Amino acid sequence: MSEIVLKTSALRKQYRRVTALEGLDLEIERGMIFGLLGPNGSGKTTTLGMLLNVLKPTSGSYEWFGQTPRAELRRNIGAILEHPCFYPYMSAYQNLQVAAEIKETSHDRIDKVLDLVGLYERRHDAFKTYSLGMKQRLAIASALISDPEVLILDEPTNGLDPKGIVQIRQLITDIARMGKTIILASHLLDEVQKVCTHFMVLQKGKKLYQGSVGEALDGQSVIEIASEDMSALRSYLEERFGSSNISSTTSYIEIKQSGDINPAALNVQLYQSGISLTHLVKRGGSLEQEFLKILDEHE
Amino acid sequence: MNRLIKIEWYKLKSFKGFWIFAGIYAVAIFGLVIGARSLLLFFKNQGAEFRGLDPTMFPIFDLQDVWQNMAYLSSVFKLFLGCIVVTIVANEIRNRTLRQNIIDGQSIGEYLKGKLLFNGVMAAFSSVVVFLVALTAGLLYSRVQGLHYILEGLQFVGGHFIIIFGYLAFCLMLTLLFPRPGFLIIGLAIYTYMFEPLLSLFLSHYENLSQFWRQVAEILPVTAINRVVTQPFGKYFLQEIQDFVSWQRVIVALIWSTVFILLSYLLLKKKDW
Repeated sequence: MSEIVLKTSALRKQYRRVTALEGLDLEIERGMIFGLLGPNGSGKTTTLGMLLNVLKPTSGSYEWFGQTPRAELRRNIGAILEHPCFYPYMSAYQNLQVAAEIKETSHDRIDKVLDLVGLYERRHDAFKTYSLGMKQRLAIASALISDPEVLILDEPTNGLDPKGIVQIRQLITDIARMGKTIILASHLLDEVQKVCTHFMVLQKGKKLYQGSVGEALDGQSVIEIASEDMSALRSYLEERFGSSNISSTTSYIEIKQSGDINPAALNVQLYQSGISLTHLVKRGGSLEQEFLKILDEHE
Repeated sequence: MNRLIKIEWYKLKSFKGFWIFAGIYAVAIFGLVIGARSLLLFFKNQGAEFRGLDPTMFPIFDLQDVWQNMAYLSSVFKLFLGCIVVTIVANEIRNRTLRQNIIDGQSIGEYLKGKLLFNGVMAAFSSVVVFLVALTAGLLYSRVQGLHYILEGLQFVGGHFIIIFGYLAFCLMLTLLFPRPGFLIIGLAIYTYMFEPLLSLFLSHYENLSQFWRQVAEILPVTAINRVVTQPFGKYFLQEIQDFVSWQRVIVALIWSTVFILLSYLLLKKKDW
């Protein structure tokens, strides 16, 4: 699990006036589903573009699979940047022929990946006749053509209707189950929360945060608690968890940072201290709260 | 190598622009012979005479002459082949498929090699067509026959190949520099058929200019490439013309081709795609 698939060192991209990416250090391990989070224009696509050799870094370096980047290594990476890019006058099948030939992979897989994304029936129709959802799905098929170890998806659900979004997400989770490393750039927090194991927050080209989704959510979880004798409850909780983690609303008390508190054990302990509860709820956090908090801290 | 040609072929075979421009080019070359022959017949029917001779006796199709005539005239239409390069590459830049090719694992060098190989294939096809058309016209209409004329004529077919290949490299470089097909094709037409010929003419004939500028006139890119096969028609008006392909001119044309290829490589390498 600790094998490093991607490593960047002080990767930087400077356009004339704008710094699109500021010295990014990053390591991604095999099997991670890594979310690249950030508002539009925060440098997500710039980062991926450099890692795929279509944008030239101003300075810094990166390694794929522990080796200096070269074209052959990219054949083991399936990637789409921004919107799907295909020859509009060619059919899905013909487009994948080009990709397969570039990746030096067998054409036998073409039908298989088209089937996987549900485009097999339409494989001989020209790409330009496809709906946006079909284009996105073809992009994923194309990324999978060489059965790559790493999959890079940039806003894969952008512009899709709810049904399309669900389909693509399901596809991503299915692919992740095959044990591939996935890098998913998105500005949709919900999406990253649903599929990713790890994530990083970018803003204005700066990395603000990096960690696992589970930990971030634990840090955000909250226990709501109430009793008939609120003041006794409050003083007990303040003593135990520190007053800074305790806050009151009109109808209950909130315990923040409650990731490692077991509600059942807490209930027993309170009862033994003579406090009986009328309300006890553990709420999981959302990445949205965490994300906004991270952005706030850096204002 | 085979793989790179295959990739280019996949991209082109269902690209309409390719077939349209290739079709126009082929029609133009075949049209040359039919057109020239019809013109001579028309003059004959009108009772015109050239120095007391029947116009169909005019020796443009003679086996000594037909190679240089055909190689030169067909290369005039090279812009149509250039249009193929311009439209497909501009298309790949605009649709970002060039970018996707790189992402998929093609190196800049491989992409360029694929384009150049295909340019080579087009130049070779064009040369074969020129050879066949010249041979047919020669066998039908020539007043002299002989294998050695055909063998001698091959140098012009080779010269035609160098002209087409060099010009296509020029088009490729310009497209990478300025990927707007509409503007570029109009610009190329003006540059190839008006601007550079006029500039070259001015530099070589304006009296107040020194010998240096006369030489510059000969090494302007399109002129230098065209000069591999000399414009042959002066000889029918008793001018002296170079009736062979000289190494010096071939080398100058090859130097230009190399420059265009290197510039293309640098553009591909330096630009963000």
